[in-house]
Amino acid sequence: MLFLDISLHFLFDTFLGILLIVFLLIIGVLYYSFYLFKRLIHLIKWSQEIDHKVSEAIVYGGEEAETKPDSFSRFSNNSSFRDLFLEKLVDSEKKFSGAAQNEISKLFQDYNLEKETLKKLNQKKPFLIAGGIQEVASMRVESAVPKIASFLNHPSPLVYQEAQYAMVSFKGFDGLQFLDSLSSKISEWQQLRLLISVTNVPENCGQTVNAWLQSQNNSVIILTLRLMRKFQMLSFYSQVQDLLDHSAEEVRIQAVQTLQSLENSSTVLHLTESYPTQTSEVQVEIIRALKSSKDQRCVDFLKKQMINHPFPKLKILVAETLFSLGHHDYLISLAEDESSSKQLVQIIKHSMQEKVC
Amino acid sequence: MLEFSHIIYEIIIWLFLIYGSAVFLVYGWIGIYALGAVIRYKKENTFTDYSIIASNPNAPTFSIIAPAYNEGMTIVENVRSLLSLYYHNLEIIIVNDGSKDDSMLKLIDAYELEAVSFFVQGEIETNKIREVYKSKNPAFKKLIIVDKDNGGKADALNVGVNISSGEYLVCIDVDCILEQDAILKLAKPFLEQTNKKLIACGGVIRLANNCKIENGKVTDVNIPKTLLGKTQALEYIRAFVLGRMAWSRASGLILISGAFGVFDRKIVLAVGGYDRHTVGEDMELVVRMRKYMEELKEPYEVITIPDPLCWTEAPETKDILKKQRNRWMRGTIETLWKHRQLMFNPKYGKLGMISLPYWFLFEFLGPLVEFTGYVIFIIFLIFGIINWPFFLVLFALVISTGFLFSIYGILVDLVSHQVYAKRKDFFTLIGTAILEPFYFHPLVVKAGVQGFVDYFKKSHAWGEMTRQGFNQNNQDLPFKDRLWARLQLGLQKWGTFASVFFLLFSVGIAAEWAWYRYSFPAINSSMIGQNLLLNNFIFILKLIFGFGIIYLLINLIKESWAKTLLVLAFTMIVVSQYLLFIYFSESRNLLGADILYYSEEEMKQILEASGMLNFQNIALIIILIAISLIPFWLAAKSSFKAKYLGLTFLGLGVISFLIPTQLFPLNNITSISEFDQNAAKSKWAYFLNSNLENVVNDYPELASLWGETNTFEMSSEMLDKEFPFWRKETTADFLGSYLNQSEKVPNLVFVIVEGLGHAYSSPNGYVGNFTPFIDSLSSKSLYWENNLSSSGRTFGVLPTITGSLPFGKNGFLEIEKTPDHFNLYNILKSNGFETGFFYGGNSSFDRTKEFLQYSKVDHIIDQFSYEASYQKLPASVGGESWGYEDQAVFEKMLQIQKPISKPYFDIILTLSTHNPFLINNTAYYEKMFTKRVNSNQISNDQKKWAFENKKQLVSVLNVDDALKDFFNSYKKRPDFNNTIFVITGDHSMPEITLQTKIDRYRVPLLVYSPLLKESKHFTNIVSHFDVAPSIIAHYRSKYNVSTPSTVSWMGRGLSDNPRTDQLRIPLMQSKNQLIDFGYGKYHLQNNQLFILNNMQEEIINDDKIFKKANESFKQFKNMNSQFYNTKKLMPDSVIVNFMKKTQPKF
Repeated sequence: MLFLDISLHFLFDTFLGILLIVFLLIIGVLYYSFYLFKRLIHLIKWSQEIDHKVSEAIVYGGEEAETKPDSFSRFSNNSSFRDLFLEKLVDSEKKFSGAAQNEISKLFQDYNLEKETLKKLNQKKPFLIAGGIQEVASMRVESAVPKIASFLNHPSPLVYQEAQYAMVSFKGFDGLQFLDSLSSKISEWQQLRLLISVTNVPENCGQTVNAWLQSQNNSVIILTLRLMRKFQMLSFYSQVQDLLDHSAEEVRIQAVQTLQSLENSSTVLHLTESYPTQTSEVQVEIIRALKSSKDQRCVDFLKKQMINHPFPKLKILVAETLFSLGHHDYLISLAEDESSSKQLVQIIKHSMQEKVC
Repeated sequence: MLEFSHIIYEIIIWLFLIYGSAVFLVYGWIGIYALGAVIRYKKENTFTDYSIIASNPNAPTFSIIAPAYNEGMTIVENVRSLLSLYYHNLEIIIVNDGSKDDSMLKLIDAYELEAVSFFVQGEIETNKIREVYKSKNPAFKKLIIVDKDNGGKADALNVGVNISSGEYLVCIDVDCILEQDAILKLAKPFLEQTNKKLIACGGVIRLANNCKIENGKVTDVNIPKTLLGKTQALEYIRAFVLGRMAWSRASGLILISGAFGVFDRKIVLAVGGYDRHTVGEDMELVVRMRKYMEELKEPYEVITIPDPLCWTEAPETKDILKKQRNRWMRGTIETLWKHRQLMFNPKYGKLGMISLPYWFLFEFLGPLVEFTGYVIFIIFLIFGIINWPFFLVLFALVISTGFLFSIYGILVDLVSHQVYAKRKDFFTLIGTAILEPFYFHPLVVKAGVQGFVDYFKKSHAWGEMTRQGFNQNNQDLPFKDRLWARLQLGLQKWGTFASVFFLLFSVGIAAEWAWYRYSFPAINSSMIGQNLLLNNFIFILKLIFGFGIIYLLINLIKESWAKTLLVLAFTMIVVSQYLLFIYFSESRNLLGADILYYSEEEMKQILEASGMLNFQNIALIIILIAISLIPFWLAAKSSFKAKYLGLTFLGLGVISFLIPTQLFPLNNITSISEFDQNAAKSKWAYFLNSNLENVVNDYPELASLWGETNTFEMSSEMLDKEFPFWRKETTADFLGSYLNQSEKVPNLVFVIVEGLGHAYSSPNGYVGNFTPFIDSLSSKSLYWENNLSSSGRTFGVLPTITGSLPFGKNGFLEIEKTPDHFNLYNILKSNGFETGFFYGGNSSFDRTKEFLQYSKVDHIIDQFSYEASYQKLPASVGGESWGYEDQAVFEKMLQIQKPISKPYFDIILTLSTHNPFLINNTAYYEKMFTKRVNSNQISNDQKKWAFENKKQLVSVLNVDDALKDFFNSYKKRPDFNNTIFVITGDHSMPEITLQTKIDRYRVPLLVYSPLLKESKHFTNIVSHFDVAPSIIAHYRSKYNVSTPSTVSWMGRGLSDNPRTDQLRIPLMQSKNQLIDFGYGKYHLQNNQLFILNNMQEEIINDDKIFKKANESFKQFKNMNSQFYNTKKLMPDSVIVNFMKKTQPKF
């Protein structure tokens, strides 16, 4: 071989060397696979035992729970077993409430699993910390709150999102304080989780909520609007109305939805007044709100849109709204009118779900 | 050539090794990266509560689009399975793509469907929608069934996209079974997006074969029963759990499986939906969506999640599997070709710089490289280019790496989701991993290669290049228009052909230049490179023009003939380019029409002895043919849309005829060596021109068309115009004054040393003195330093040196029936001499034997005359030996030619200094070479030459040594003292770079004899033509030997003074090349005149002399032509009478 002055012999030796390494790797991977497979079988067995243990605890309460102390405590010092036990407890906790939840917490305390969870909070890997936060939040380890609060500013989204959720789980509405200074976007998923966890809103929250509505972070505003919808915070109607002029379309859409949710007698008027200045996406949302309001005052406005608006998507919605408001005749006459465009006729038929055969 | 082919093989082996290493690294990276991604996903989602969106009315709407074609058997169940998915905001769109079965009736019946008015919002162009159905039953309100005209999967999906109203589209195959929580799991990444827009998301697909399915749900997971199914289960693990996860983590994913993927509807609509013209619509859509986002410059991602969310039936018969893989390969090619402008385009970020190149290099080229790799390595193994251990270790490495990757996939799968958790299934998977490389993998590779071939065969869309046959519409046109249409089509095709030819030939030129640089480090590579390029480009353009016209004309008659002709001719031309330059570099000779003058037998012997006819070289030629043929074959399948490229090539061809090549830098510099000048020439152009000239020479009437005359002037000494060379014998006895008269008629022995040039047999030669014995002998001989042979190869030496004969058309020996003539053999034999010819090779070569038999030589000794005790020259690798070594020839001569009472005349022709210069006892002579080079006899300038030509010079040292032994043995014989020796070379070796053009013919001439009165060194120019006349004159004058009174000698006899006014020496370089002429102190070659100043050439511009020299040369050529026409040198009676009259005297 001339290239790189490598001889065929040397190349052969190199390949042989690589082959040896590949063989060693094969043995390694096979060995580890068998080990994992064995562990998997264990886990399945353990999983059944833990399920049994948990169900016993829930059904029979603390006294009868210790029916088979030997078989369970035999593993209870094994770290893999403890991890699985913890995982199962956290999982079960989500499914139950009241006394059952207390039993689960008791198991958590009885087996001293708190130690494991708190240890995770001191790990470096984000997913381990996040897992730890989930566990302490789920098992309501109050002592961990200050530590969790410190994770609100963690660089990993995984960690700070989990910390946000945990804070709300522990403190309810007060746990949302982090919104005051939040600069990162809150994902839809996270918003849904947070909203579910907030169970009530204190009466003197006005100032805080107003501040959130003024936030530079659109996702904070959106979350606040959703909170208002959930808790019917009618006193903020006018502030929400102001948001119809917000620069971000997504905020305006949420504002329309919130106004509809906090509806009063002037809402239809407010929405139709704002309508001409909005983008088509917001307009669609306004029509949807009008549809939900079932307010006959908007019929003329809708008829105007039916004739003049250029977008089929909006027209379909308008037609459906008119249909739901009981204006079949108008729609039929419009469909039968020879001057109506083919597209308009089709839209009307579509919205009326007319059967073809 | 052997070395060249070895380098080519090495390059090939290295290319495969580099590719293999790249595959190794890339898959290593995939393995590591995927493991990280899988672990991260799992940890992140351990406690995910999907229920928060399952029933949430604020969650986004997902539209499932499932195209169905003839799925009547299962469609009702499949739809039921979809309806049971956990997700609130769901829309299920089933698109019936014009099924021919009862799918629609079954659906209508099962789901209480009724056709409704439906306004389709999307604007992607599709085939016609027949009806849109919705269910009367509110339980199925999520369901929309669309019945449409058949248009293929992509078209059906586009209809679904148009109809859908959800924010995200879930595109699936209708026969897939989705996990109940599939949408929940897929929705999460979309809901989690913050800074980067998620445009597409895929999930892991698993095989449903052999799984237990109840109510549209997989209730018991089993590994498929058949081996084919099992292997696909393994393959799916590798593809989804490793490949996709790694690329997803690296943000480089460009494939979301068509069987199951989620897309952002707005982006799909913005890019225009699925491409209906490709079979790989799933990958193509993702590439287009990514391209769109890159152009918008918005951050985005395409991901896959490792949850097994979809179950599908994999093909369990080979035929269906092959078809599927064939389609995948075609889809890949189509997508890569369609988006080729993105490849390596930094504007498209990771997509352009990493994903597409990866896909091209590994996914597309992978099967092709693997297939060719196996073929080539097996050929190499058969031909002995690589050995068994090497092959086996490489094969074992490939197989074991594949196995490692498979079991690693199983491991990662265990870490991730433990789909196959049964002990039996786990072990079956590992067993399958062992069998996969032997059973499944070859099938997949074969299907991939077939897909590649099918793509080009069918070639329905090759981007700008489209298949444009002469269609039916054109056939109906009037004749004139039809002709024009055909011409246009021909030009379009010609553009492709010419481009491919230009490209491939250019590669050949580059290879030629690189090869010279490698083989001859001392050459002026940049100058040669420039000229090679220019000369060859001019040649190619001319050729393209010529072939273009022929092609277009034949194309008018029949397209397929024209294409076949071109493919074959262009392949032959490209392959020959390699052969021609390798021939040049091996022999340092340009190959021309001389190839025509070797018989089949001779050609075989040349090829065998030079080691050309071995497997390696044949394999190389096969590879070269394959490499050239495939692009031309592909070119035949396609053409450019416009005819302008074809026209441009033709135009350039016309211009190329007008470019004066004499203006090229190298063509006018004489200080550059003959070798360099030849190296810079286009070998093909030379070959072609030489053959054309040959045709013209064969048909003189053609030459007369150009007004060339064939007459010569009658000179005073000509006896008859019919026999232009016939004249009175007037040669004086020059040798008489230097040789003592012996009592007994002296013996005559000629030693003609193959390839003995002056350059390396004299201290004055530019290479130096590598014949110490000959050199020492020259100081005891009559030594003509400036002697010329008559030919550049061996074919000329015997007729010239023994008969001073003209050449005829291709050398005297080539004339089929040897014309009657006088030569030393027949004159001396008729006087009673014993005659002999001693040679180690085959005397039939160059028709030497016929000449000797005509001369009635007593002992014709050639390779068939030796006993086993004599040693042959070594054979080259894979070839045969040329014959017996020089030592054997000399020994044989001493054995056969006994000291006898009557005089004898013998010629010994040596052999070992012939290409490939293989000798016995190489080590000994190499040592001698080293010693010689390091001695003070070789100057520093000469050393450079010596090292460059070591192999040749070692063989020269060998022959010199053999000659020394020969003389030492001879001296011990009684007849030595009464013998005249003539020692000379037949020509210079062209394999040792020639400094000047005349060097080719410059060989030493020594007359040595114990009868010599004195030694003398002559510097005047003589030639081999002078030898026979002088010898005859000497024997006539001193020993009363009967000699003819009229002769046809070309030479005037040896002399001691510069007879520049009389010297006329025609020199024939090869059997078809008579372009050199020695005219006094001038050397005429082609149209260049050189002055010889102590044999140093310098170009001069002297019209007068040029004209005279040219006329003289022409006079000779015409006389020669007259001789060739009549094949007679003198009247028959002259020879008959002489032979009759002359009686043996001894």
